[in-house]
Amino acid sequence: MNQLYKFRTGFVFFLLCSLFTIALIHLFSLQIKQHDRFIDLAHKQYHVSVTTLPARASIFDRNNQPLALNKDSLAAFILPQTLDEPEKTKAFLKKYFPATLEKLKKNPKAHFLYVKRKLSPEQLQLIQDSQLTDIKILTEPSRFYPIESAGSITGITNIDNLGLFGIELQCDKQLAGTPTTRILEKDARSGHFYFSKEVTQEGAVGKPVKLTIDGNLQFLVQEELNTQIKKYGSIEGAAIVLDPETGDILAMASFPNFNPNETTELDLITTKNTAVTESYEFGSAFKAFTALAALDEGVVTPEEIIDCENSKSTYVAGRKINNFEAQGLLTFEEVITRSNNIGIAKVAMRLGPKLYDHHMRLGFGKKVGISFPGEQAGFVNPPNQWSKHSIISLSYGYEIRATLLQVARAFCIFTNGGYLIQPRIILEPEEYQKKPEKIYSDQSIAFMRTILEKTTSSKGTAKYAALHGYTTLGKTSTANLIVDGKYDPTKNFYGFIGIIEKGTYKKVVGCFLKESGQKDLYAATVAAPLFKKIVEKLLIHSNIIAEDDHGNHHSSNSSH
Amino acid sequence: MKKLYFIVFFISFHILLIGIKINKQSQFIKISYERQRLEQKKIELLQQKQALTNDLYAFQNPALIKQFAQDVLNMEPLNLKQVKRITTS
Repeated sequence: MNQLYKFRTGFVFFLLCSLFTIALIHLFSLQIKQHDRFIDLAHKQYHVSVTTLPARASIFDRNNQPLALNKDSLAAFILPQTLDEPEKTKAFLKKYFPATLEKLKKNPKAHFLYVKRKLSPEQLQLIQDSQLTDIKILTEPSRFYPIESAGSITGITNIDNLGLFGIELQCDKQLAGTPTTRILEKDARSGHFYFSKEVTQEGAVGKPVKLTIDGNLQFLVQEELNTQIKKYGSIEGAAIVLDPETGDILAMASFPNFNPNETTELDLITTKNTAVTESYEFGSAFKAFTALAALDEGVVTPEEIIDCENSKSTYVAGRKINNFEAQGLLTFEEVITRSNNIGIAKVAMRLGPKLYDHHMRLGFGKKVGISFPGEQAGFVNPPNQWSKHSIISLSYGYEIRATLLQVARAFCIFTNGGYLIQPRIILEPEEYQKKPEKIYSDQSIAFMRTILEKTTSSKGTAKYAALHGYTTLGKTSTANLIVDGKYDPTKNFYGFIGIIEKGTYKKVVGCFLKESGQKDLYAATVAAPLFKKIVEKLLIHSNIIAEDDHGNHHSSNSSH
Repeated sequence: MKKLYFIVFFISFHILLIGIKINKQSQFIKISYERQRLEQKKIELLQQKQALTNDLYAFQNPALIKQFAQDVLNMEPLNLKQVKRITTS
């Protein structure tokens, strides 16, 4: 009995010792051997790394009116691995979001799947009405553009709120800022809350961008452009308003254009900022630059008589030149005001390759420096690639391609004393801007100003651009477009580049329309009236009102 | 007897210190939670402010204003010839 008792006691003791030993070994394993692993595991469970992007900064116009703001958009998603009612959910997706169902079929083991991002109010209502708990909603940052007509300038952001084109792309880094990373100490029950917070990487908030654009003027210019496009059934067009002293682009409208707030079905062609991203052979507007070069080089005087052959079509140096009407002996001044191709070609031949140097001096063939995404440099045919007829083509604006912005910029020299300015679209933060460079003498500019002013007189080709009580200078531009490698006389480019002045108030306005559903049109009847309409809106908007006809001194800039 | 009092006092003192420490920690957590709740509220209010600002600017959309002026108020676009500057000398 005693022995049995001893045996039992010894056995229990041994058993307990063994259990303790196992427990100790296990404790040793947990606490010492795997110490680092469990510390790491605990650290991962208690410390959550969170990276947050700052709110994207806004874009403003020159009057601090917002052009791009932040807005929360809604996105619907499912967690395919934890669906409560998979059949009901799939049936719903099949009916209303079939593309998502396809994605789900391809990735049935996905942890997360978007049903639809940027939900429309109707789609949100549809999801809410379905009462499906498997479809969840989250908010995502996106953008709102209060002035829709500025869409081709501001551009848009993509679904991840990154700049896609326009200023949103150009200033993406500045607007987006940099993310901040924090380590939050949490436990299983803390939910949204945390015990402590530690910043491991300090980010920076995005900086707003202020443009030179005037939002309201942009709307007015866009409206006038749309009206004229509709009237003539054109397929493309653009208009620009430029300050010739500072280079500020005040408005830059494009057609076709798009609504930046409705981008679910976006045609990429409509997103172009045509005034900057498309270059054309401008035609007759370049006669102004040829004339300027000829006057500056002293190869002609404004009063010199040029024989324009009194024919609508003639040969000069073996090249056939067409004119819209037969004109005989004209002074050089009249050659420009009446836009005679024969006369300007004859004068240009005296210039020879020097014309190329003058085009380069005016900034053609290179980007103007606004760094706008997709900006075109245009093209100037260099003398070593000239055919024997190139000088004739160049004299009236063929074999040279330029953007509307480039031509408007070059026109600024006629109103700012011969200075080539660098246009700008970003007002703040201030960017490096080249100092204006005087490229033509006062005398050459004065000659050209007289000629361009007469172009808008009753005898000139641009009489429909004239405004009583204001100084108007300008040049029409009708050019054939190239179709399948050949100039098509039925498809034309109608442009007008002009200057409006009243006292110290000076603005350069350029516009063009491409093609028309109507026949026998010229820039004088298509683009010059558009210029006039834009200028009228511009003057009312800028509060620049001329004196009336009764001799009352209604000064535009004074009020007593 | 003195020894017993000392032990009771010692234990009570430590229990008191532990109580104070727990209270301090719970107060800290409570305030921390309250701060985070207010931060969350601030974010929500900022979002509401943003939405209202967007609505405000949406109503200032020149296209909408023009439509309203023409359709509801029967106004017409202004022509430059119709504008006169009146100055007094």
